[in-house]
Amino acid sequence: MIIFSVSHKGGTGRSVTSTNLAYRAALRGYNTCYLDFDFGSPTIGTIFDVENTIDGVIGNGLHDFLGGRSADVQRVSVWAESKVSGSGQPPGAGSLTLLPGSRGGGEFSVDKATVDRCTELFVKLDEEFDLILVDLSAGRSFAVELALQCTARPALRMVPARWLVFHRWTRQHVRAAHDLVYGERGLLNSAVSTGHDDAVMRTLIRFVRTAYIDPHSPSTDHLSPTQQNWLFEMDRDLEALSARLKLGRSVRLGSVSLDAVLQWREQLITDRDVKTLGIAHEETVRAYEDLAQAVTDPAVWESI
Amino acid sequence: MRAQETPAYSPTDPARDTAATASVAVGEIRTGLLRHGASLTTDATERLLDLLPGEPVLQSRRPIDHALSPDVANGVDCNVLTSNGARVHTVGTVLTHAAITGGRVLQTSTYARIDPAGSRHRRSWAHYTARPGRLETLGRADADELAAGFAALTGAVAPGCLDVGAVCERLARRLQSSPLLDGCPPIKSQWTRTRWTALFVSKHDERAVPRADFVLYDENVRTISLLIPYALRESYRLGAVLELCRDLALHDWVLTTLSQRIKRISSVSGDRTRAVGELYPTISHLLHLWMPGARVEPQLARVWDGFERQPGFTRQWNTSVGWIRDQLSLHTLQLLGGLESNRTAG
Ligand SMILES: Nc1ncnc2c1ncn2[C@@H]1O[C@H](COP(=O)(O)OP(=O)(O)OP(=O)(O)O)[C@@H](O)[C@H]1O
Ligand SMILES: [Mg+2]
Repeated sequence: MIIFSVSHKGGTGRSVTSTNLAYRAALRGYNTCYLDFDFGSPTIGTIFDVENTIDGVIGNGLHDFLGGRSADVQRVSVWAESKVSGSGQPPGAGSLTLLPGSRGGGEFSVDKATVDRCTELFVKLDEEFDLILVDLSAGRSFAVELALQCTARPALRMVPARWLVFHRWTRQHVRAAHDLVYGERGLLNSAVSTGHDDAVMRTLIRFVRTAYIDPHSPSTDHLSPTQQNWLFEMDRDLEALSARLKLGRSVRLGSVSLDAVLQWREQLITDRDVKTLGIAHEETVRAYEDLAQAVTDPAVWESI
Repeated sequence: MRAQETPAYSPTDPARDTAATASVAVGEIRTGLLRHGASLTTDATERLLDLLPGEPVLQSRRPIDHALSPDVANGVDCNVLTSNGARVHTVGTVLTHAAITGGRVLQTSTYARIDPAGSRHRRSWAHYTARPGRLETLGRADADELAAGFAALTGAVAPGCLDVGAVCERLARRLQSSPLLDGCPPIKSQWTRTRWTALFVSKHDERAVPRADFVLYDENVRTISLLIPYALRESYRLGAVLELCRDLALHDWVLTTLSQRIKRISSVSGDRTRAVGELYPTISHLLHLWMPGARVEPQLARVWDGFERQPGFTRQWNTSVGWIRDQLSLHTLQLLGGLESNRTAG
């Protein structure tokens, strides 16, 4: 299964949420790999805390491979090389492998040779991994175009694809997420023009709300009643707006609450952060676990 | 893990004359699971491996379905690294073929024989194309150093250097994307890379006993180093060596894949449905592939025997298969137990 992560603009929490989703999926026993297609700003080295890949890698990163400058693409095992796992692969976990971008990568053109190489890479990873997470860059980009062209190829027709659209919970973000999917130059129209079926493509897209403040949660207890009421109203209005713009509850894969740790630092939230250190919320971990469960649950994707 | 027929041999005497007949063959084999749900039919196999129209695909059914494509030549003009870090300029062609075993396992293999005697000048392409699968050095090189240099190169290949692995990979990718395959392999699995060298010593070389080393370099990379005494050159023809290396690579892959499956099944053993779901394809798609040495010429069987003593392929295999069967019995018992208690309860 290939999961593409997209967002309408930068800073929505796309990378942090998808990396944590990948981490939770691997802990559940899925062999998981994570590809940094965010060619503008490679960040996964930082989030996974892997030295030497902080700003991408030199020579055989993803850009070098896709651009035909390297025959192989570098792989980094998170269990072996990241500081998040003290003692290698946790019992019961699947593999967790990163394919970092190239240092100073930048965008590139989507020509036939690039699509060929990228398709072959997806095919190869699909032979090996249960889940392939691809962090595409923000907005409409070459990376999105490349992903659409590859998944339209016959070689990938049997590999299930999923599209996750990340957005924050404000009017502007909800509208922008709508545009990214349903707009004139949106994902659906681009998909159709690259040979995908509109009805099928719609069933492959789900939304993920990030840095959400749930007005029902105890974290809002310290607010005054007026403030709390205002939050309830805002939340209700946004829910109505999302439903109208076709990104409401029925197509929402999950929500991740605002967590102070993530506001300060892009990182994986480990059980240690919650249980031993007590710095992150248990709720945050549960949200990532739920996302990992939902993305692999066929029942979730059967209908809308 | 390391196996050899005989203990180490004495280091090479640099003064000895290897020019007469010494040569070295090098190659790489990539082994993986065909991207297809069922065992590939003979007909589809034939079409998939039809790499050179007009040249036959060799198929045999016993003791296990096996198909071998014709060799395709690729011209190369590149450097080969020797064990002491020198770059030797070589020109010629490498050969590539693909094999499918049991309608399931795909192997791509690229190889060449390097003639280290060397020529002073680069010759016309016609000269090289008339000698498919041969590389000639420009200037004299040492066969031992060429073999050792090739075997040592288990990571990324430097630009401009001989990269037989890349040729294998290109063919593997092309075949795996073929419309003849349904794209739904029954299990997730990794590819292995097996780099091999065969050093054919010269008439004047005192090394008289064959030697075979198999080294697991890391999770996916293995090396095989063969040393072939002059007296045995007849039984160790290149074709036989290739077949031996493919057979080793195949069984090593099956064993590697089985142990990865075992790791996975153990990790989900608490969840019976998931564990049984993982056991079933393992049993039905992997276990019957084990047929060590079946495709190896009798004279080379002793090399297999050496590997049976150390690292003990079959011993490891039997243990793994025993584990799998025990798991299945256990789950069957639990299932029956569940039915039984349902009945008594109801
Ligand atoms: N649940 C959360 N609570 C608080 N902060 C969060 C949460 N999720 C993400 N963040 C923070 O939001 C910021 C942006 O997140 P991230 O880098 O993942 O965004 P992005 O969409 O990948 O951006 P870009 O397009 O620039 O790569 C980061 O500082 C991150 O730590
Ligand atoms: Mg990002």
